[in-house]
Amino acid sequence: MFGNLIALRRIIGPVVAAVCLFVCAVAQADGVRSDGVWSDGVRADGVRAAQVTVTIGNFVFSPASVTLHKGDSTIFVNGDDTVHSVQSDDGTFHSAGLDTGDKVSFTFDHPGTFTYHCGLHPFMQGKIVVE
Amino acid sequence: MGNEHNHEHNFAHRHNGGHEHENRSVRDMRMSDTTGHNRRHALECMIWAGTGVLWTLSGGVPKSLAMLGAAYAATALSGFTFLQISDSHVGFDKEAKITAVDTLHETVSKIGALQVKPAFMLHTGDITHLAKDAQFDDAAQIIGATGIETHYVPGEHDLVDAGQGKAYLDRYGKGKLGAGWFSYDQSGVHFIGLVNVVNLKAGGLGNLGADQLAWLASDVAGLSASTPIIVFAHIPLWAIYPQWGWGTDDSAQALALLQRFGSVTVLNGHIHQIIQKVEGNMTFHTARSTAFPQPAPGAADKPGPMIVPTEKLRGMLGLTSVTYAVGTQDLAITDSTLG
Repeated sequence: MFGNLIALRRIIGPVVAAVCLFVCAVAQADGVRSDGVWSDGVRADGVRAAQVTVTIGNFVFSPASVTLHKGDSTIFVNGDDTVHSVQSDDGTFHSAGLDTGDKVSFTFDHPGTFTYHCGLHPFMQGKIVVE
Repeated sequence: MGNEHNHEHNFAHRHNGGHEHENRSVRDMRMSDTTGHNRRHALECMIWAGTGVLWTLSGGVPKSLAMLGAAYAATALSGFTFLQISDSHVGFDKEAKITAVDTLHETVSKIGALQVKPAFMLHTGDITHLAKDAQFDDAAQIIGATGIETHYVPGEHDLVDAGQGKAYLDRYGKGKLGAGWFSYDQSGVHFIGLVNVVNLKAGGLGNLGADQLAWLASDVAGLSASTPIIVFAHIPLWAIYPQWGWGTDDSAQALALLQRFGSVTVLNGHIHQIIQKVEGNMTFHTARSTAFPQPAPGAADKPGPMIVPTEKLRGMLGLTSVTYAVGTQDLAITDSTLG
């Protein structure tokens, strides 16, 4: 189902995709939201913010560490030929399984440091710092 | 039991890299009937004398083949055979000409052609690739066509739905505890299905957790030490290649609870290839996938699907048959490929 949603997002645009991701894919605690993907630096709610891409390839998150400002987001793109996921170590946020080409985005509204790993291959690890 | 060419003995496919200890352990046991010099060897000699014949067969020592025939004969009278299938990954479609659904259908056809109908099947996880409803539905339909009762434990791929395992438990959680662990008895053999794929920790391996270990302790507490034990779980309960996550952090605690039993067989999946070791009274065995192979430990940069030419693929996929003969505590494990 999740993969279908991602395909859907590509077709009908970011606003609907944001709703689908929020409803269907990811549970969040305070300060971390799954807002879907935007490409022009303007979020669905009109706020200008940065979006940093983390690519998953050959069982590695790259870059392994990203630094954001409040309101920025990180989009994870799975470029591997197997399933990966994004799971914060403290359980604050997680994605469903990402097949090849699938994406998921998280927006961070509060400062903090979030370490995360792949829920299927926990030797894969990364970090997001929100200033 | 199928085409002779498709059968092989497990040790023919063992990998040496990183397994010197296991090799030595097995070799010691083979020699212990003639060189039992120390206490450990003496103990192994006793085990050898009591359970070693078919146990040796499970390790694939050719000269014991005659005894395998005896085992099947005994089984015909008072034992049973069950199958293990694993890592069907329904939804995987990265092969050029064949999908995981296709190869699972082929597996089911092979099962249907067996001369002796298995008493039941075990599926050691990664039923699906992405834990999608349609994938679970397809798997249930295809496997259900065997008409053989099947006991499941989940793999990590079965828990990647948005509900982090809800989809699996909705289908397979009935009558089970916690994340889906359970036990049952069959003709005097105690079967234990463990779940070691939940809430994997950063940098860690498979994980059973305190609750499951406490349950396991109580589950086996009342059993006689002569009760044959068969444990099945997705990720290996022994450290095959921790760099790739091929092991379980707290498996030693589980195995310690089973140490007193005279015959313990541990069946796992996850690594999509056969690796076996025998240590003391415990036999460890991993099964092939029905969907795609993975590299031997350390043979590639990373784990993951090996895309091989279609004509070679079926020789790298398969299923496992286990035969138990009542009164011997012994199990004969036979692996066969799809082609």
